[in-house]
Amino acid sequence: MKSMARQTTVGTKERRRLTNTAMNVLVYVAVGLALVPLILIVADVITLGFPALSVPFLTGLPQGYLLGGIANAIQGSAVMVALGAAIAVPVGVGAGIYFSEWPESRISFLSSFTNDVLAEFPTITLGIFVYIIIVAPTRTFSAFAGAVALSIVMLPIVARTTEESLKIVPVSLREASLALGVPRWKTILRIVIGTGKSGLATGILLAVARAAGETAPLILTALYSNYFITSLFQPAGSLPYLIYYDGGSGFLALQTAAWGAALVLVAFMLVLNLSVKFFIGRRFAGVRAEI
Amino acid sequence: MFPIMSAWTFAYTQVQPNIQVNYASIGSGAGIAQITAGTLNCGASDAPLSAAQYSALPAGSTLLTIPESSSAVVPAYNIPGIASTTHLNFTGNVLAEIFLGNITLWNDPAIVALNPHVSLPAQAITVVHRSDGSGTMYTFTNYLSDSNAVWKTKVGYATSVNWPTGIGCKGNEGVAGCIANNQYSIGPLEIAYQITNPGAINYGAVQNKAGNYILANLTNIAEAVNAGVKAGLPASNAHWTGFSIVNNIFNDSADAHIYPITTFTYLLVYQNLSASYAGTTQPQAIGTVNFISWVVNHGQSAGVKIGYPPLPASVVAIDNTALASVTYNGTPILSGS
Amino acid sequence: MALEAKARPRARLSGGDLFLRLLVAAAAVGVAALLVALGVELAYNSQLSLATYGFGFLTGTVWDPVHLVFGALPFIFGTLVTSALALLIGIPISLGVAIFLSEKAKERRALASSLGSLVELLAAVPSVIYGLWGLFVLAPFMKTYVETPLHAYLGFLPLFSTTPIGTDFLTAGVILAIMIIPTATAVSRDILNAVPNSQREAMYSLGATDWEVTRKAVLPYARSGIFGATILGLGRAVGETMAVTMVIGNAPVISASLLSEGYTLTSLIVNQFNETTSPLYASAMVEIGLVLFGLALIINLFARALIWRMTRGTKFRV
Repeated sequence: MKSMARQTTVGTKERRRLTNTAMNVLVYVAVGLALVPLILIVADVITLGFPALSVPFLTGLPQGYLLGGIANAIQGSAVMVALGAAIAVPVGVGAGIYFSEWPESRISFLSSFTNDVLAEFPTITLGIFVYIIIVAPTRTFSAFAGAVALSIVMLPIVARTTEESLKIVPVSLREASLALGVPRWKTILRIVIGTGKSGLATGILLAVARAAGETAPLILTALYSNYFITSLFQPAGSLPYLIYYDGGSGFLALQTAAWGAALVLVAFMLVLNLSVKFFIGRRFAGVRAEI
Repeated sequence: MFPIMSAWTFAYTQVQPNIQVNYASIGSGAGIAQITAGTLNCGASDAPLSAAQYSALPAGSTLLTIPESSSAVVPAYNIPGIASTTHLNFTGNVLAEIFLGNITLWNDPAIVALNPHVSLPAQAITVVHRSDGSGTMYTFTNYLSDSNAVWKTKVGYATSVNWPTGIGCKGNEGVAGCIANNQYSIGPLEIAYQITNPGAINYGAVQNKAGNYILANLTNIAEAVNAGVKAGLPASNAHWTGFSIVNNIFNDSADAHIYPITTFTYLLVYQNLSASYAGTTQPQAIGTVNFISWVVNHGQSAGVKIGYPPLPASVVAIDNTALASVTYNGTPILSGS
Repeated sequence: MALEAKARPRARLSGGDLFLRLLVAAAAVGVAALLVALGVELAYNSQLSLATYGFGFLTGTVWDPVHLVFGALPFIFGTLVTSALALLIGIPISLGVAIFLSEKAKERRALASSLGSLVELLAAVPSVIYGLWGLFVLAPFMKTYVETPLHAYLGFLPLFSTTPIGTDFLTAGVILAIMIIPTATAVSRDILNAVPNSQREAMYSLGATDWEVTRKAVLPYARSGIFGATILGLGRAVGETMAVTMVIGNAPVISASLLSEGYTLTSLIVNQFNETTSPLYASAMVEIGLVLFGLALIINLFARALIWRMTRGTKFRV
């Protein structure tokens, strides 16, 4: 009996150890599988995009089906993202303040929940929305419509990170301020936001990174232009649209331009995301660099 | 249309540096849709408007259809192993069967019969077509409808059809890209896209009514246009629904060397411009009309290198009359024409 | 959570307080209103199509702009198939990475942190660049090295019965899987971290191996949260537009074969929204957007609810 029991125990132990090792291997395989695409994509973007880079490329205009420049797309993206941020940041920060300082209200709960849903929403539907409310009535594709679409993309991100960073500000800071007789609104604006400033900045940077990469809403709102922007109520170029269009074209020169533009965009993204991580020492609990 | 439009807009900037003509290559379907919605100053299309599309135009508006160049749709393919100097022969019927999905292999007897001296591989055909609305597709499906009764009833012809088979790619550029990226594929392509993109893509000859296999070039496209307008054109401000060079020349067996899949490309602009169309300002209206006028009268040579023969003189005359009738807020734009 | 009731002022309510509160409340309401407005506008502008096709829109299999027959089933099918593939491939990988980051790399904090950052960088790549890479690198690779052998050896199965072309359901599923990995990993990692250490310690004290601890103590506890992460990934996959459009083949096909070209709701909108040449066509297009809205809303609400249930009471917010 004793020897049988010992044999069974040894057999089981072996099996358990083997299972453990196998699972360990699988976990490492999973990590590898997750990283391989990233490495490949970055490598491909660099190797295929680098040949396109040159001063004329970065400062010139498209030249039909020959290899021209992408300066108008860079400008278009910059203008629309900036304008979108100008709309999204005040509203987003405001909403975030409300979620953080008045969390008990029903509006806060519902709206915060809605906010999270909006953050994950298919952006093409936002494009349809802005087409209906802006492009159709104004009867023109426009940079303005594009900016509005991007602002809706950015809004939930700004609101969420604002809420998170304000919530982390210690209660004691608020109490001390109020105890000194500072009115609540001043407490919020000066002390709470002042302390949570870096968190707010993070949110804005993340939102900008997200918006800069969005294509689908722009197709229905800003369409495209081969020139620099002269009016906000005319179509405008953008890097993502250029990548989409040139990449799908059969012209080798344009495909090269697409990779070059992709390199510019990815570089911009990486710089933004890395600076977020660098300036904010610790990771935000629950905040994602979601694009 | 992208190659010729980009050639024109580029050349025009040299002539008139203050004017920027922005061409968004989004397909004829979109061109028609957006001019109807009034979101573009001027639409471009390889297909005239249908009756339904005319009725969707804003009330009280008159749309001018101005042919500004002509072009050909060729059956472009990517078959490794066949020399670029060899051009496959196709009939309309065989093309229809391929695009219906009935002929699935390159070495199908029907294709071999047309190309006895070519060694066709036993590979599956990948059919490529547009995923967006396209005048090029309008012309091609027009030709297929004329050639094959099943296609005519089952699919018909329009800028956007319910393709029985194949993958969809966006824009002529996309189709060119898809053909280049997929070996053993075939797709309808505006000839300019093959000329500017020789590489992997080649194109075949199509049989016309006279029984000759015609490989599209400037001469036979121009001849097709001449034959197609023999019976006359609709007035510029009338409905161009149903006008089709393909239909006009389909049964023409007298002209031995016309290329059967030929089309005009049209610029669409409202006759009575005002701010209600895309917020058009007067300078924009003047600029638009001047640009079209330049294209029709001076820009025709720009397309020659890439497969767009110049317009016949008769068509140029009609276009000029049309442009002279364009007004902004009631005032004619081109005075003294 | 962070603010307790005693921090709220009970004394005088200054005008400034009221003003600020109203101002930011308006912003908050605006956010909620936005989602509602989105749904309303989509529904309103689909009226013509809703009236013409009724429920048959969801079951119709033909999308014919010439004869004005519109049915959304091929696109719903494509969206669901590619998303299912994305989950099938992406979730196990995400779980593996999350387990690594949360359970295995506990000692090597720097490694965990930098690996976690690397995976998150995947999320920083814009969708259109995934599409570009998918079109030029992944699709040809899939066609030559994955699909052709699959079709050659397993072609008798309906699953691999059509001719490989590279731009099809399978490639779209793979690229979506890559795209949902960062989100799913991050959420899963937080879920796993939220499992109390007492659970693990109890198992270890019983002599369990690492894997047994994970499998028996951690995962069951985190089950609903991981399920929520899966649904979140599903929401992401359903709404993904550019990457899918560039590799799916853009043909409204319902097929049992993964190697067939297909179409999704999002791709259809991108390709044809600007092309609608009649009011009915335009309305049908908006109705596709409405279907997408409904689908995304249900999925997202469900995911949010699940995750909220799991992380309620903890300091984690995903």
